[in-house]
Amino acid sequence: MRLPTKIGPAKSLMILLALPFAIQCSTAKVAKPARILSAKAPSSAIATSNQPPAIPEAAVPPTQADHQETVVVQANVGGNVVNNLAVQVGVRNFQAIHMTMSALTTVPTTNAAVAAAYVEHNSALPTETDVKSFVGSSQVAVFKLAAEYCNALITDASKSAAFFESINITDVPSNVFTAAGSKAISDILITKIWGSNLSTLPPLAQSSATLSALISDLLIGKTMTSKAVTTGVLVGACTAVLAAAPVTLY
Amino acid sequence: MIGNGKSQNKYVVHLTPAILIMIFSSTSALGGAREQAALLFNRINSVPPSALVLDAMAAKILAGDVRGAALDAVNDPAGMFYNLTLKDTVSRWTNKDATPRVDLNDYTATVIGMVRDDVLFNSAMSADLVYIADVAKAPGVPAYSLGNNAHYKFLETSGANLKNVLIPIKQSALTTTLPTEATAGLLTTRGFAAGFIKAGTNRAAAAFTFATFLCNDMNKLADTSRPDFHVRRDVTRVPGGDSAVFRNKCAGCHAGMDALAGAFAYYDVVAGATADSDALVYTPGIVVAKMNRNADQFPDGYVTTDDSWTNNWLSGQNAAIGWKGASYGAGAKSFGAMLAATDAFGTCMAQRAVQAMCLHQPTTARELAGVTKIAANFVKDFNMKNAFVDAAVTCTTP
Repeated sequence: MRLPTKIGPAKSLMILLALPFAIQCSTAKVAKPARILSAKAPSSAIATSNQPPAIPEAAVPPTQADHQETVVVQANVGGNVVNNLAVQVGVRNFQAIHMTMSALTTVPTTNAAVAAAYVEHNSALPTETDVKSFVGSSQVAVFKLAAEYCNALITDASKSAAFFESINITDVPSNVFTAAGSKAISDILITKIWGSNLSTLPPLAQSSATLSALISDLLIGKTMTSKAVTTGVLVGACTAVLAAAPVTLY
Repeated sequence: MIGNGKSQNKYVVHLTPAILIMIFSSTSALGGAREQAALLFNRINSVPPSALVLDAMAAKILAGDVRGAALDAVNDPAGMFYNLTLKDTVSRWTNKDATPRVDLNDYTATVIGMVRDDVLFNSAMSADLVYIADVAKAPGVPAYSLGNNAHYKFLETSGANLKNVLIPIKQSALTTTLPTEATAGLLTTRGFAAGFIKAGTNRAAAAFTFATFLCNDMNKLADTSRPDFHVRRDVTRVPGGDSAVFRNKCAGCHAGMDALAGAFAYYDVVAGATADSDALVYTPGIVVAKMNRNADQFPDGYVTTDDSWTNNWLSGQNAAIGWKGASYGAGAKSFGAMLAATDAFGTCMAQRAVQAMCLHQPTTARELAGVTKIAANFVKDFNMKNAFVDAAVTCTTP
């Protein structure tokens, strides 16, 4: 028996997409998968215990299993729900993550620092494209590789000038990270790394506001007259976007 | 580099549950032309498209030409379909662990070249063909050799665009070791030999060829109803003192596998100092020693005297493979041609394409219907590029 469970795309997706920079996202606010599922589906549709759900078979048209937004939960006895999910999204594996970050930042994979980071961390990057195989250590490796790519981008004068276009990022923090400056930087990081005008992404304004808030957080206690701080904060903001799910998942 | 440790930790925690949330709320193909274009390009190239490419593909999809948009993604100048997606897919075929974490080799490069050039893929296991780098486009590349992998490792480490640098050549013209009659496409590449002919008894060469190109591993093929006259001497007939175990278990695989693995009786690998320097050798007329070793296990078993092979799986449960070629022959070339003539070959290649584009084994009704359709088309033109393109459309159409 296959049980289709329609999940609303709105809030839970947005939480995820903004996750790497959603500072306020505490454990309590990031709802656990089973809870989100049960919020939209009849409680009996989710096999969270050894008891098989009591859904009439006639209510399960098999063609619904094809719908991209439909999560299929196979009724199971003693199994776990995640293993039985049919998912339509995958995770980029080690080589794809490396190449994708290179393409998005314009930093070549042969860059010495990036290449060294890849050698060091690639064994922790995913081997398979099955998103269910993605574990916490994979994300740590993604984050570290993203940090190297962003550092290479931000510290390369010509590449960063081309990436940030008319925005001057070589000045001190007090001049670069004004409200308007932070928003412009956030907009460009998000649109160039995540893409734009895609309904699969959260609204740009929302993402940009969250990233601007992250920039503000990173500036707390920092010397606002040091150009080194500008560089560090830019690398941090860039890393948050580059290591996020819209880049690693596809 | 990215702020103090405290701040950094705040941003990276709780990722795993969040990833799961995204799985559940997957909106990867919401139906808009732009969304489908993005997904199509990502699945085909494993990297995201540029804004310009995305716009162009979306326009094509809006005009109703989804397949044209997919072809554009395949033909993207960066060549990531070949350098990344196809390389990752085929690398898994070249080793027993089915891992993509292996160096580029002649096996993988030859598949990439055949797909790029629309070479009839039913010749993949029988042609006198290998793809090497054009020296003019890859200056400094070491010469091709059956004795090491330096040629391909150079291409990988130098970041060569495989879409542009690979050229086809007769394998027999590259080496004096393999005459034309001894070449069998991918089955006589150094990469295949290092993966499946090295050590062992050459049974792996037959077994993994079935697994890779017919999507049937030994667990599926095991059939205890077949005659066991071809089982070699190194298989005991009384495992654990019980002859019933041999007949009801061991013979299920060995009856068919041993009869077919004779095709590789003249091939062996001489182990080098490193895996990269293992060398494929061919000894026409001389059966390699490992084919007849451990004869004391059952001295009355089959003795391999040449490279002939016989298909013992023509009837029984494995008739479902849809055999259409020869039922016996000699050497790897005829063995490979026999496999490529089966119904299972077309279906398997369609499955491989769909799996590569959907990122999981085909399971939904739409994906399974896609496999059937792609397989039907594949056996008409044996064009793997078309199979991948059609699979990409199948996997990304809402």
